[in-house]
Amino acid sequence: MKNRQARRERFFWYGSGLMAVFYALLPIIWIISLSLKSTADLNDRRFFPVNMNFDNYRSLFADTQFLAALWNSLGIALIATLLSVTLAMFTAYALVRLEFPGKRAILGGALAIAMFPPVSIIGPLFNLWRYLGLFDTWAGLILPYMTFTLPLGIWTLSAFFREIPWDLDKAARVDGASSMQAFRYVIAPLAAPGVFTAAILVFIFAWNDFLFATALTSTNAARTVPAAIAFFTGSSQFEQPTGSIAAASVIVTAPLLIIVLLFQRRIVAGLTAGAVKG
Amino acid sequence: MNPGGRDERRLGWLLCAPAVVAMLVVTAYPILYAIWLSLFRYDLRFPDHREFIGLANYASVLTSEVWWQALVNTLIITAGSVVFELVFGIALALLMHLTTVGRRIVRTAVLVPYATITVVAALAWKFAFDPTTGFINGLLGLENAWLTERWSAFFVIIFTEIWKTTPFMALLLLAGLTLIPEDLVRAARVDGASTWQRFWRIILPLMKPTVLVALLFRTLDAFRIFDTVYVQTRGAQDTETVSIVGYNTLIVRLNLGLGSAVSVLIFCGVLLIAFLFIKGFGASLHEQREDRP
Amino acid sequence: MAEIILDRVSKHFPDGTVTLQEVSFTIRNGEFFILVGPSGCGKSTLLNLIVGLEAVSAGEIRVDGRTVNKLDPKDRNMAMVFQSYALYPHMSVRENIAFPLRLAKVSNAEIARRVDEAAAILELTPLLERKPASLSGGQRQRVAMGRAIVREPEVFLLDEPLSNLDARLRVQMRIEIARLQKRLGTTLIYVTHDQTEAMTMGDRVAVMNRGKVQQIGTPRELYYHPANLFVAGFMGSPGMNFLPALIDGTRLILPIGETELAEEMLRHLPADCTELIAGIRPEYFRPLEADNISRGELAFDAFIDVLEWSGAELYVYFDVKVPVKSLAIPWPDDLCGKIRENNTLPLVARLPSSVFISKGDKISLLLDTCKIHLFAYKTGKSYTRKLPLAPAGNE
Repeated sequence: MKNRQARRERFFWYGSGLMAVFYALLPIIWIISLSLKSTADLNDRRFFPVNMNFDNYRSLFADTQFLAALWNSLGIALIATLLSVTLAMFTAYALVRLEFPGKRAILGGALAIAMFPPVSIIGPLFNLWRYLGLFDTWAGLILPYMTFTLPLGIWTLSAFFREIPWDLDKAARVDGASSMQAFRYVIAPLAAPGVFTAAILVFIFAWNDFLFATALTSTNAARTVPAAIAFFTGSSQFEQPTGSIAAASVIVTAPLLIIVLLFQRRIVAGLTAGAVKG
Repeated sequence: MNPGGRDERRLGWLLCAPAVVAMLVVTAYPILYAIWLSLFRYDLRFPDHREFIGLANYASVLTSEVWWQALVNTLIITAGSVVFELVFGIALALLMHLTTVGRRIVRTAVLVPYATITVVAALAWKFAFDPTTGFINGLLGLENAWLTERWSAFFVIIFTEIWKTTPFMALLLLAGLTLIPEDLVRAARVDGASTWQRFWRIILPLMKPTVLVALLFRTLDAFRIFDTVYVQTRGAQDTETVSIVGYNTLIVRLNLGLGSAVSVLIFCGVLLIAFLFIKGFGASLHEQREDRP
Repeated sequence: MAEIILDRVSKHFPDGTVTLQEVSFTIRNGEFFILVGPSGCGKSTLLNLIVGLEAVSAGEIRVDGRTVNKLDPKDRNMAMVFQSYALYPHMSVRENIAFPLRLAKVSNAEIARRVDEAAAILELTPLLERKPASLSGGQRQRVAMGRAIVREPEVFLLDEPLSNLDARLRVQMRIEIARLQKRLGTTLIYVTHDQTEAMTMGDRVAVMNRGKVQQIGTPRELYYHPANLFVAGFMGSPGMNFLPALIDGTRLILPIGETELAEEMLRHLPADCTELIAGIRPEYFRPLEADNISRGELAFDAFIDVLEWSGAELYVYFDVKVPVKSLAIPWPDDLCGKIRENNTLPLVARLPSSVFISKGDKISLLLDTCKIHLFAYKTGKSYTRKLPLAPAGNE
């Protein structure tokens, strides 16, 4: 009797777990299989490709437009991440470790920006960037990405920094470390995982953006992959290059999926740290 | 070693300054600039005709059918996606919390939609629902051209949103779930509460703060929806959202005056939503926070 | 090894709170010295000042005649064990213990030798490659000790090192730490709020309260000759009983009866003194057997409220009625015994565990009045401090 119920329960968990995994992976598998279909099979309405081939990828990597977009995406996202995390680190450290008036205002302001609608400022930025010569440049995208990810970075890092046993710094100093050494050997290694997590989250945000990328760029000079995909044109106007789009989608998704698979635990901790504890 | 109050204050401000300046320059200043621009007739195609017209831009936006239609559309998408996300999110969170098998695999898999960029998610589902390339019609034995009709297009858009953001919701809720002391649930069990009662009477009330935070974030996020709609319909079939209207006016039609008025109105909409949330739920949120150290 | 002199050391914070007020004393070379007091008394601050984690506001700290006020912690050659142990979570036990030596640029061979030696002393050898997170509380405590002893410092500073351990382990570690200190012969300063640790471990103890040193002495001196009400109440468990007392000529009037005061006791009292607080340790009582009351003993009846029988000892809790005359005098707030609403005061007596009584019984008790401590009402100062030790039989 008991055994039967236990088995049924196990079956239930297996079933729902499988369903969740299926739900999460379905569109990804679909877009991968679409990218592997040959042009002739594109409209066969099958889920899996009948004849697998890599033609779409081959033509994509021959396309200078796409390669430029990939390079732009990578460079812009990385630089924005670096800047954002650096500034967020300073701020989070001050918020966690120091007492000064205005702390609450800064946290509140950061939260307000997290809720800010980006579409509200693309007009002014569009105008301003053209005036300042930042339109269609890397800097023109890096600046808004950095700003819009600052709240995320500040909240996540504050939550992580709060968990660091800062007293260890004292212990290290008693053990004979100078303040620099205490930072290097004790505090930095403890803070690194949090900083790394914040960097991943910020990178995902910057990599994901579409609105700024379409509004503030016009050519290959700074257009990132999400914008490039949306403006893909096929060889003729009437043929939508579905295969190429699918292949490009796979390529732009792959780095993030790898990051997620490798650092699953950190990302979950980072995503939830600021929201629940704050 | 022991920084006097003044040094500490100065260091604190110094460390915060770069981030604060960046946030002010790239958000506060542009929004003020947007308010300023919205008071002018200013079309980049006719830059010489720039002229102060007061609130006339607002009048034309607020009397145009496009704006109100877009607002209704946005609210439909927001309500539709957030409600289902909450329900599925709770279910997914419970699954991740309680399951005994493959917990790690489920948690990792669930992050996939989060990490998939919105444009790709929108494209994947667009192709899936497409009558020529897609597999969904074949699967269901239908011949629908989903994105060419208003309500089915809404369905696809909302479906995509739900797929993409439920995991985020679930992870937030999961974090709230793990904060509930195990002993409380056990105590309720000893007191004779059934599984269902434990969920409704103990778990859900204790998760309320987390649920509210997650709802607030997602509602604001959904209200700003742009990527999915842009990729899937470009606003055709009457699926334009307020962000699409703003984008089209500003970037496509280059009408900075009118577009800025739309931007400011969207901004006010976001403020209103945040205000309603904080006003409506703030008290209960505050009260629950008090208990925590 | 070092002698530490604190010369009128004060500490106040920018917001005006004074945590230490003109603290002066000397810690002798090789001594096991204890700082004890309730939480917030300034003992941990004092420790942080000595090790250099906080800067003194006024006064001087000298180690072996050298002023160290301005020295960074790393230059003071002191080792500290923190209450939280402060083990570096990202380093193994071996790396934790080796950390101070690495910072001091000791050669690798020497580090290995000294870490192994310290590990052997503390029985940590099998744990050396583990991370702190996988250790038990007692093991973590020993790792913290290991990190302290491996540098062979001039002074050990221990900040409540046992307060995170369970009772049994605490007793065991108490003995281990005391033994270790005797073996190494290094000056050790130990901060605790637990008077048992202070009594059992220290060569000398400084009792602190509200940022001031109340008394310094051996555990024996503190116990038998407390300088004031605070020390009297703080040392000993269960604490000393306090009773309102009146002086009438040469007679001492207590709620439990009256007695003629001994000549020496009277001599130390100020002439105009009429109201006092009398302090009686629980073991000053004994059961009355066969009516043989000797001189200076006071017999009275007590109705037992609660009994605590622990095998080796028997504690009897009973109430006494406070005379109306004594009620007029304000009772000091911070004493452990409080006069209740119905004008009774709870007392406790320690009796031989062989006495067989039960709750609600009446028992006749004897009090040896020569041992009574007398304190001034207002200042809490002891009037009986200079009296000779109690007879040897009572120790």
